[in-house]
Amino acid sequence: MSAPKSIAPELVGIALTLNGRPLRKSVAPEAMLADLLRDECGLTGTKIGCDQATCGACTVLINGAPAASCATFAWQADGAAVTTIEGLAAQGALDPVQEAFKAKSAFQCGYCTPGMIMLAKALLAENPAPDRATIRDWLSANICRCTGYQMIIEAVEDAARRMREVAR
Amino acid sequence: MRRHGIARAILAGEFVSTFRPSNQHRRASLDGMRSGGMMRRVGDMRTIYGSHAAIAPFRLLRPARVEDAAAALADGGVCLAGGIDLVPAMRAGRRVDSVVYLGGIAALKSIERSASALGIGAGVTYAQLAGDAAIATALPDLAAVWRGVANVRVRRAATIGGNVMAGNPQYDMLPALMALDAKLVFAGANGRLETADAASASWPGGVLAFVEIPLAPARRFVFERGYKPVISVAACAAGPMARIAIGCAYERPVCRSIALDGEAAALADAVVRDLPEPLSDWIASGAYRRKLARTLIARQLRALGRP
Repeated sequence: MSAPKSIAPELVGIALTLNGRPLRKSVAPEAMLADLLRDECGLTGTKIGCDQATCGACTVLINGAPAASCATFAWQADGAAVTTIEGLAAQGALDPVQEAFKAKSAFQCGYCTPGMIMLAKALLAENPAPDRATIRDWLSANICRCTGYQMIIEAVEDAARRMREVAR
Repeated sequence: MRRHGIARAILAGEFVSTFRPSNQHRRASLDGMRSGGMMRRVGDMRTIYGSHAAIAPFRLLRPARVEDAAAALADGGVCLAGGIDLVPAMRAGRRVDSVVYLGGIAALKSIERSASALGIGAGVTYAQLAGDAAIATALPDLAAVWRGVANVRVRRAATIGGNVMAGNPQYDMLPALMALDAKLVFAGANGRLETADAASASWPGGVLAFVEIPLAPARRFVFERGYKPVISVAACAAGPMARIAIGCAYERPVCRSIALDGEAAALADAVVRDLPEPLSDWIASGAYRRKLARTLIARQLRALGRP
């Protein structure tokens, strides 16, 4: 029996793809992905709301799956592709989901918006034509204290329409 | 009422909001976490809110094989798969010297169907349990229930094994597995597998490798989770027998097997008479839990087709 692969007690070497670009870092085992993104990489679009993995403001995509970056250790993204809100409009043009949120005024204070948009991206990647019940089920993972959700749900429907038009 | 309680506590000086050096604000008490409240008595603001900044440094082990994980566990390590249970506990002050990350062990993610049973790896996520085609075909009721557990983000991280091994009586996987008459298969550091009934009082050591759920034609499974945290009731019927598991009402879920030979209300009465006295705590009294158990068991038996 070989010994477990041990990378400690200090730093853990990780290599990941962040918004399409390779990133190599040494991180403390207890460092959270949200802190790596915000403090180390300067990507402050990812917000920390509740810091309890409940509100979803810190949602990023890890290999396409939505994850709470405030409760995901940075090393858990080792080897993965991480996408943050900054990764959506990388070429300058807004993503269809961002366009839809803008068109539907689906934000007020805007603090939950990056998480909402990342969650919507994951949903539409999995299901390009979600019904309203599916959208509600997904969005129930994130909290918005301003809008009452109606415009956000409409924005996700609008984004789905826009993305289908682009695909056609 | 709750606000008054907090205001009173602040006036009484129970919440200390001044900044403390990092080694102190990391020393939040486990008792605070167990009380279930966001507020704890001592610490700076970060500690009070259970921030991730309060997580104490730890050593990380990332074994590639389940026997290596079992060895690390025997060495005092604590397993982390999706982190849904452990990370909040650490944020609330639980000190862990070594975290043993199970996410890199491919063997824990298998789903295998034989003629008589479905083997589901302990590392299989809730999202897979709800969406995997083999599981949905073999155990459609279970998959349907799990589509409504937690949220989409949690379902992608939470694992079957993590939920069972967290040992939290409020959690759902163990009562479900008890009602389904599942077996738990543990892997030891020597690579040997040991099996225990999910419903048995004690389990062997090691890392939970997979669960084995027996398959039977026309088997029905229902799970009432809407009365949590007071009580949850999982029930499974196959032929003339049913198994009923009660969660949230005991330190550890309790399971009973009954013959389906009467009306739902009478059967529920008999089951409840046979149950130990439920917990009385800040959530509900034992008497209320007992009353609710009778009502919900009868309801579940009707859902399973009893008159």
